[in-house]
Order: sequence, then C-alpha cells, then structure tokens
Amino acid sequence: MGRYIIRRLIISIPLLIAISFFVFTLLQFTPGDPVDAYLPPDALISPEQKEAIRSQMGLDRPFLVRYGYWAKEAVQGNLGFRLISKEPVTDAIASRVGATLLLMGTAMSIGILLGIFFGVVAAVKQYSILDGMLTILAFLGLSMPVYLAGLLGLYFFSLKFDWFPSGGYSTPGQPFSITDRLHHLILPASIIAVNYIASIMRYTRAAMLDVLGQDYVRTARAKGLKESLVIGRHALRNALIPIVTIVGTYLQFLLGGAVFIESIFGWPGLGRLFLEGVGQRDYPLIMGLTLILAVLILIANLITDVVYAFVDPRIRYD
Amino acid sequence: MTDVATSPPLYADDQALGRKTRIESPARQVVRRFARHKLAMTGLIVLVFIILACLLAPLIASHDPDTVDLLARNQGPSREHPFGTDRTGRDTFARVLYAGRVSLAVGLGAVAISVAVGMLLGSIAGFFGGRIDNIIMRFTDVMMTFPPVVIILTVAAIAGPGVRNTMLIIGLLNWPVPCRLVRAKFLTVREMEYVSAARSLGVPTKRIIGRHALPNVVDVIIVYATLGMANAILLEAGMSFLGVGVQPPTPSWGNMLNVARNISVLEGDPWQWMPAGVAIVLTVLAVNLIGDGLRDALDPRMKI
Repeated sequence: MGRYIIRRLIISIPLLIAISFFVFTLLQFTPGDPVDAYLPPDALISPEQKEAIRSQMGLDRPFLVRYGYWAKEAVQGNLGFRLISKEPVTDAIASRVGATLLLMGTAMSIGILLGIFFGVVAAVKQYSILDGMLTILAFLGLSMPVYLAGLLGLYFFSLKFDWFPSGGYSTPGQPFSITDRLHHLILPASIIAVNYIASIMRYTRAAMLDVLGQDYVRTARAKGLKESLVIGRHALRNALIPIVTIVGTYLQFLLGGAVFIESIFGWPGLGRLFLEGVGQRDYPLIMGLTLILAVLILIANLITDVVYAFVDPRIRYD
Repeated sequence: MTDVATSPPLYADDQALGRKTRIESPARQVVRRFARHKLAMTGLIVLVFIILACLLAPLIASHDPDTVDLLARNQGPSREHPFGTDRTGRDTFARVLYAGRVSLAVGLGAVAISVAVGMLLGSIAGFFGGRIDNIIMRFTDVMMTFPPVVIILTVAAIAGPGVRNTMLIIGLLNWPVPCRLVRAKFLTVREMEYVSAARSLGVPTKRIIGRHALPNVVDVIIVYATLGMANAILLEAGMSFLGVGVQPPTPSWGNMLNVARNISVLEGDPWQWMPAGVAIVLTVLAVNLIGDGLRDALDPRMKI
C-alpha cells in the first residue's frame, strides 16, 4: 500500500506540471500588458523605463523560461503576488481555504449520509410509491443547477421564512461561537449537497438492488436474522463498495458548486476568491488557485482509491 | 386448429392465415421500448412543448422581448404581462421564450462540438492504440483533473463573453467523456473478427473505422449527447449567471437569473428571475429523463 501511494504521488507530478503549463499558456493569450497592471494607472513612465521594468521582471525572456521560473518558485511555496492588492497569493489562499474546506466537508457529509439513507430506503421499498417519489425527487435534484438551488434556498429559507441568515460566515459584531457558525453553514452546505444527495441516492439504490438479490442475503434471511441486520450488515456494507468511487469523483463538482454558492451567500472561501480573481483578471491568483485546486482534487482521488482498498479486501494495489 | 399443438410454429400459422411475419428492425425495437418508458415519454412531451414554445415565440408572446417600457417597470404578473416585467419594463414572458432559443442553441451547439472532437480523438486513440493512444489519454486525464467550473471560468475570462465563445468553451472542454466512451468501445471492436476480415480484404482504415467500428458506438454516443446537452445548458446558464457567458441585451436563461444576485430583486421581484429558473429546471429535467429512457431502451438486457 505504501509503495502504491508513493507511485501515485510520483505519477501526479507530471499531471500537475501539465495542468499548470496549460493554464500558464492560456494566460499568455490574454489581452493587456502585465507591466501596465503592475503600475498604478496614473504613473507617468517613459517607454524606456517600461522596458527596464519588463526586463527586470523577466517579462522579456522566452515563454518557457518564464514558466520554468514560475514553477521553480511555486515548488518553493511562492505563488507570486496578487496584481492589485499585492498580497502574496499563498496568503490569500491560506486565509480562505479553511472556509471552503468547512463548507465542502459539511456538504459532503450531508450528501453521503442523506444520499445513502434515501438510496437504501428506495431499494428496500422497490417499486413502492415512496420509491417512485424518491426517484422523481432524485431526477429533480440532478436537474437543479446549484446556483438556482442557491437562489431558491436564499429566497425561501432566509428571506421569506427567516430560518437562516442570508449570507456570510458569522454574525458581524458577535464573538465566534459554534452555534452561530453552524447557523450560517447549514443552508449553503445543504444546497451544495443537493446534486450530491441525488446522485449518491441513485447509485446506492442500484448497488443495493444488486446486492439484495445475492445468495448470501437470502441465506442471512433464511437464518432468521432481523431484517435491519440483513440490510445494515449484509447488504449495505457490500453495496457501499461502488459508492466509494462516486464519493471521490464528485469532489470536482462540489468545488464547482462552491464557486456559485460562495458567491451567492457571501461565503469567504476559495470559490469567491477565484471569482474575484476572474473579475479583476488577477492572473497570478488564477494560476495559484488552479494549481491548489488541482492538488486538492488529486489528493481526494488518491484518498478515494486508498479507501476503496480498505472497503473491499479483494482489491490489492501491489 | 388442432387442440393438440398448443403453440404451433408462429410462422406456419401466420402463413395459414395469410399474414406476413414481420421481423422488427433493431431501430424499431428501440423506438417501441422507448415509447413504453413512461418517464422518458413525459420528458419528451415536455421538451417538445418547450422547443415549440421557443420556436413559435413571435406568435405566442404578445410583446417584443427587447422593447423597453419605462412606464411599466418591475411589474408583477398581469393579463398584459403574464410573468410581469423587468427593471426596464421588458416583458418577462417574451424574454423567457426568446432566451430559450439562445440557451437551447448553445446547449445543442456545445454538445455537437464535444461529440465531434471526442469521437475523432477517441476513435484515433482506440483504433490505433500504442503511443497515440497514450498521448491522447494522458491529455484527457489532464482535462478531467480540472474542476470544470474553474477551468471554464478561467477560459471565459480570457476569451471574453458572447454566444459563440460560450458555445465553443463548453464544447471544447467537455470532449474527454465521449472520447473515453468511443475509445473503450473501439479497443474491443478492433479485435473483432469482422474487423480482421475487413483488413485482410484490404479495406482502407478510414472505411473500416467508418463502416465497421463507428456504428458500434452510436448508442453510447446518443445517450451521452442527450445527457451532455442537459449539462451544457446548465453550464451556459451558470456562466451567464456569473456574467461571463451570454451577455445582455441578448436574453438567455442564465443571464435572466443574473438579476437575482441583487438581493432586493431576489426578495422583492421573484417574477423577474423565477420563470427563467423554472425553464432551466424543466428543460434539463426533461432532457435527463429522455437520456435515461434512451439508455434503458438501447440496453437489450433491460426489461421495459
């Protein structure tokens, strides 16, 4: 297992290089001169001075050399500076990453718990009215874009019913408290989880139906085991195996959801930072964020595969 | 009729009765199986209804979608304006219908691009294998590691907004899935005896791919294209919602939702954004149901 993890980490290095190179190349096609963005707009500067700044910043060097320079610094933990605020990109990311991880972690937990629960219910009661209703709800959940769910959630649960605050990370002017944070967290996290619940439910239902038809489930029933034990211990544990892969691969979509939901709810996380960067054409920030997000996704995929081996002893990675 | 043979050969029986036996073509079978799928048929009816409403927008809507009427701003629904009016007094009902044309066209165009690119690269990778396959598949790996929304927004910020760019961006970033589907199928197909037979007869590779290999992926691609279109409509709406997709004054369902980012509009004038939201959900739901039905209908192991 240890060797497998190391091998996977080594494989992901060229992947990260490819991703960052791709974005770096894209950013070369952007209109505008980075020197202009770097200088205050009212700076009086001669073309010669501009040239001097350009060569001082290394902008006159060939494309590949500049990428190499960026990569060398990035490896050492320096992702450059934001264009307008001049804040180091690593600081900007570090100060926001916690909020996003909290939001996504909560959304993921809600999605996994509710998705598996509804999936099991639908499978056990196959072809019942309840199953039909859950199926239709799942389709609705899969067809509901996260930004619309966000707007509807904000409209009904915050503005009309006033159950939850209409945005932000905490109530301004109040000292930090866990209940206050939870109160702000529940609504946006549940909304990000909508798609996730729906798809995990569909997969759980299919996997459960598959397992419920197996001989060992019949054996368990024939032994006279309680139905709850048959479902929980014999069926669900085996049905979970394919679901683990879904949990990991959906992280990308959760991240996409976070971009919209953080913007709608004013959640101070990476998603909103990213939108800020896109809006201000803050290229060092976009570059740094893309890299960090890619690292997050690669790690999540790796964790998924490792967990997969733990859940299913038949899988060996040696 | 004898009472001994309970089930005489159908064919002989039919002949005796002067009927012709019909063997159903596979395509007909799929159509019949699809027609029995209740949810999918519901989806199809809803989608046809939406498409017709958008195409016939000039006949259905009594107002022009772009006419500004400053005396009738921010109105609620009325006989004159079934869905009310927006900040500049434009008729929301008319705008939703015209926006549907843009959103559906972008969705269709984007999925066509991703299917075309995906099929091309996928068939090259799957059929030739070896180093070409390796290069193409590593490239799809890279593409699939990106969180889609993040990369789409990055490219959109660079390329600039607009209908054409939106379609291109969505299409060109979504080809890895059809590419992998086609490649996987081709890897098995190219080992088939009829492909070796064609090869030994000297059939040119282009023709082998076109005539012998590609028909095998039609069903997978149809299902992908349907579900991919739902995805493309959602992405377009998301980009336009954030302001990097289709730009006003051209209406699209996404940019009609954009006004709801202003909390006073969100709370005070739900009529300005909810109709577009409902249109998105209904369309995507219908397309998803159709896709699901198609998948079941095309899978001979599924009982419908």
